[in-house]
Amino acid sequence: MNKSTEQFAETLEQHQGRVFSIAFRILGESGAAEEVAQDVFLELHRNLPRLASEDHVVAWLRRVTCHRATDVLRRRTARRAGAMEELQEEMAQVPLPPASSPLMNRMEQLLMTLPPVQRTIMVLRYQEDIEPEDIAIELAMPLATVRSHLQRALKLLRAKAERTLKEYIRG
Amino acid sequence: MVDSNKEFDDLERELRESLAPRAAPLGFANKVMARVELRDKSAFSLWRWFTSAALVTAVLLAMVLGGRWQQQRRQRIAGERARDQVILALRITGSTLQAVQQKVQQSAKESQP
Repeated sequence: MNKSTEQFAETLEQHQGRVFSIAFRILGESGAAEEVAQDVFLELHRNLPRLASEDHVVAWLRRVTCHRATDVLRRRTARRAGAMEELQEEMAQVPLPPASSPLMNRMEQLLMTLPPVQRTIMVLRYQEDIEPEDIAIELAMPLATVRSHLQRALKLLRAKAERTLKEYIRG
Repeated sequence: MVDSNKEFDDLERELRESLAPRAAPLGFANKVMARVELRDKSAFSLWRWFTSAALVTAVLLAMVLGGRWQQQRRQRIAGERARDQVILALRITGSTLQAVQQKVQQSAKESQP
C-alpha cells in the first residue's frame, strides 16, 4: 500500500460514519446512502492530493455529500410523477437500520418528514454542528434563507415532536 | 415565551444528541477500497491498452516506412544500374562506330589512285 493510499484509508476510516450519516439523513434510505457515500469517497480518492488540510477534507466531504445526496433526491423526485408530500410520507416509512437509540431512530424519521433543503440544513446544523453562517457558505445560500429554514424546520419538528417525543424530551 | 424558548433549547439539545453520526454499514470501508482498487486497475489496463496500441502503431508505421524506403532504394539502384548499362552500351557503340569509320576512311584512301 503506497503512502497516498494509506492516507486515503485513514481518512476513509475516520470519516465514513459522518459521510454515511449525512447521506442517510438526507435520503432516508440506507442503500442509496451507502452508494452515495461510496461515490463520495471514490471522488475523494481522486481529489485528496489537492486538499491541503484535515479541515479542507472535512468541509469537502460535507459539501460533496450534501450535493450528491440532493442530486439523488432531485432525480428520484423527477422520476416520480407523484407529489412531494407523497414522496416524503413514503420515505418516512422506509425501514431504518438499527440506530444507537430508539430516540435517534424516531428523530431521524421525523427529520424525513421535512422538505429536503430543511433536512440538509438540519443535518449540517445538528449532526455536524456547523454555524448557520458556514452552512450558508457550504450550500451557497443567503444566510437569511438558512436561518429561516432552520426556524421553520425547528417549528415543524417541535410540533411533531410534541406529539411523538414528549416522553423523551420532557424526560 | 420563556417556556417556548426552553422548549426550543430542549429540542435543539435533543437534536444534537440524537443526530450524532451513525456507524457506516458493515464492510463499508472494504467496499470502497475494493472499488478504488478496481478503478485503479481498469485505469492502468486502459493506460496499458493505449501504450500497446501506440507501440503496435509505431511498429507498423516503421515497417511501412521502412518497406517504402527499401523499395525506393531498390528502384534507385536498378535505375543507376540501367543508366550505367546504357552508358556502357553507348560507349561500345561509339568505339565500334569509330573503328568502322577508321576502316572506311582507310579503304577509301587505299582505293584512291
